[in-house]
Amino acid sequence: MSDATDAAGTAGESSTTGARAASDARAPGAVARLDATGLPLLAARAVLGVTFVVLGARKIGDPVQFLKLIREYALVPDDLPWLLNGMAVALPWLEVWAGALLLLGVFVRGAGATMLLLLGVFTTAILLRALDIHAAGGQAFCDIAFDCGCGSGVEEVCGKLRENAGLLLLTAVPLLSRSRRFCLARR
Amino acid sequence: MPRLLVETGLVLVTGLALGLASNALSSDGLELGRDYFPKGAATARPVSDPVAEPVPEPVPEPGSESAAEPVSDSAAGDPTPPDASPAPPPATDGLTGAAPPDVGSPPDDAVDPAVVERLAAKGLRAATFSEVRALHEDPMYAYEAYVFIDARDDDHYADGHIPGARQFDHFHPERHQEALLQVLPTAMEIIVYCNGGDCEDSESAALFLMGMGADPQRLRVYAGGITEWRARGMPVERGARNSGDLEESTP
Repeated sequence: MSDATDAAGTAGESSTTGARAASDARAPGAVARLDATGLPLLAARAVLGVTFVVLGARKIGDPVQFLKLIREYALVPDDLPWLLNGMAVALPWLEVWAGALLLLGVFVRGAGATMLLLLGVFTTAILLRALDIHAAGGQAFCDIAFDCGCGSGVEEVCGKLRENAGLLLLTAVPLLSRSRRFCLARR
Repeated sequence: MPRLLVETGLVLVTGLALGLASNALSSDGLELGRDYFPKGAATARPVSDPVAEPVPEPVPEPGSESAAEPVSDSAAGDPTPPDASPAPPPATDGLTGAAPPDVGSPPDDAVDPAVVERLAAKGLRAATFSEVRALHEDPMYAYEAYVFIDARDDDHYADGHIPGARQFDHFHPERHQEALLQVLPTAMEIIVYCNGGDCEDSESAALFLMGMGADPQRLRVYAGGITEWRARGMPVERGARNSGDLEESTP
């Protein structure tokens, strides 16, 4: 009884493994082959890296303006000025740093995760602020426009949220890609 | 996963350290521990506190030599000694709180009550356009009996300020503090402005000036700011203070 059951189990496992292997050889294999070319990662690195470097550099150029803008989100209590000031001087450099690392292809996953974190926090803050404005003024949501402190000036909130959603999705590429082609660091 | 966490941690720590180091080395850097948006209650002295109010410097005799010449430009390190400040006008308005010279108020010359309330909560008072204009057109303005202070940054100041106004960017007080300390003690009225509207720079600068010893009873915020000044067709001065490069505004 026991031997028969084991035999049946082994046959079942063998059958499952065979099916999985066949499946792996189709869809995931195509993605893996595309990934292996390094081109999806290269494109994602270029878009994310240039975006972060350019927008971060603009903020570095005017730390006072960035300080005023991030204060409007009321993310930090007023009695913690060192935290607000620290965010104003450090976040833009973190953006530029993460963007530069991604462009160079060094610490690709770490830079991608950093971008995911920054984009997640910024996008949530923008959404909450827009909802506040919408609730206070009764303005149509997509008509709301403000300078979000993103380095791109006054923008319509729906466009900004769409842009950030796209960038968020794009961070999946450096996080998940196994390719290191066109990267300075191969590990 | 641990490798991802380590990499992310490295990127975060090095990026943040880069920002803090750059800020420490930059001449435009922020002071991390400073509250750039004071609320007033904790920073400003209450207007009615007679003990805390600074004592004005002795007023030179009217007609003395120092009162005969307009004050020179405001560059930091201005060699004019404090005791050579010009004579303020007779104590008829600023000190007593009476109305300044009236040049005729437009019918809509009023400050939004919400702004007045916001200023009052910080221990500040508002000035209307007609009051500011009257002070600006008073002959004693040239002698800095009335000191106008533009609380915006260098670029905005150079782009156009109220003629004769001094600059005080409270994010970089060290650049203007010395020159202001020479004129504030003898000023009959101090008017601080920025862009107007939601601009808070004038309020923060006014509170900072109070911390420097400016008399709260002589200090007011021109809530309409340079936007209203221009909108009312008043001229602005481009470049440095007393540059003479005046630009007419189109209402």
